Amino acid sequence: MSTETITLNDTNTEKSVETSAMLQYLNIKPQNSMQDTELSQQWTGLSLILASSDTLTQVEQSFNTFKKYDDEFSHRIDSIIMSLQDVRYTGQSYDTIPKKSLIACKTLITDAATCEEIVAAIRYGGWNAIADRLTYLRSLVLDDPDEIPIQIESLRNLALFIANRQQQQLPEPQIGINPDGFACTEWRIANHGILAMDFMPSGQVRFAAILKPPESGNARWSVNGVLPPDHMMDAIRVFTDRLTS
Amino acid sequence: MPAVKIPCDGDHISRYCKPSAIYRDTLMPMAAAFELREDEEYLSVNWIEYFEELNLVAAINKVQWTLQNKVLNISPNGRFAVLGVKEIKDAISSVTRHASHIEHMPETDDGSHCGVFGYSASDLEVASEIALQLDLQNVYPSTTNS
Repeated sequence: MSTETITLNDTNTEKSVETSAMLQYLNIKPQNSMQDTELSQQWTGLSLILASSDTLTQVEQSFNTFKKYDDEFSHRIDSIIMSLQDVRYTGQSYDTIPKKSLIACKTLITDAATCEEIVAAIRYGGWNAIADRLTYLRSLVLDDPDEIPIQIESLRNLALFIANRQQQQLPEPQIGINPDGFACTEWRIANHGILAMDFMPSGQVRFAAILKPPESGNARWSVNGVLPPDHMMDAIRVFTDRLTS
Repeated sequence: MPAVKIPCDGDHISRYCKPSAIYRDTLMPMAAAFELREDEEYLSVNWIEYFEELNLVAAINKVQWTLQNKVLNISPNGRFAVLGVKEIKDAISSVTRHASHIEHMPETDDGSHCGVFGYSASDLEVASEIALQLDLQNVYPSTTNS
């Protein structure tokens, strides 16, 4: 498969997308499901079309065409098409997208059936330090029966948050596991600020942020709660503004 | 054995923090090290002064020995966090606005065992406030080799 970067020209803008991610996405399809000759031919054809597509519209059309031949993967294709539309209409700069496509990365995370697959998707997205940390955390259970295994839905929600972190401009977090097996993250501002998050299997985030800036004497700012990730980010803006300034 | 409150706010407790709740670079405990499980009513800690040692390191070695005898796996990548009794009580009360307390709850194989009461599994801000109290001076290796 090609891994080159091609340029996709839309109606009034030009953006560069690393299509290798999409092509690699095609590679994740199990080979044993390729026994259907027609399906296999269509799959190969789609790969070729994608490699030669020069507009987002062509890419979308290719995926839509392929859906007719592969019901099993149609939901993944829907996800990719939605992501492409997001890219088109938000005008997001591709400079903020890491080495591999966020589109394919998020799809891999969403579809992962095991913790190993989620960690692999994070590595695929280029966040190797985080993938290494998660591998280490998962290995602790083997050495210590008292360690709590990480819950897969919690890990998935953490992984999706990591994938979205790029847009939120947050620095890389410390990652751990809480006593209930929830993946958790933490950031510090010197010794006067802390932001902690527990990624709950439900998709919500339990969070707490505390600031005790030296310049404010003993004044303490804090917020905590349980919210969906987007709403939480609004709630902790005071903290993240300082974290990124 | 009936629970007895530690009388002195000037005393100290230690909390064994597992490697899964330790910063990978600074080796400082995360807030997760002070979170409770959903079914826990208190945070398990050890009373440092119980051992009547002359210095903190010797007392922590006793805690380590005690926990290992309880068949707890003490990892060399874990850490012991040491906090003052008043310090941890104030940290809890500053968030919950309610009184907190630390009870001496000796076990047959762990005479120094205590419970920190006053918060629940959902109080992540309390766990964060406790973690914020720590600095490198009150975090110790979990084994004498680390």
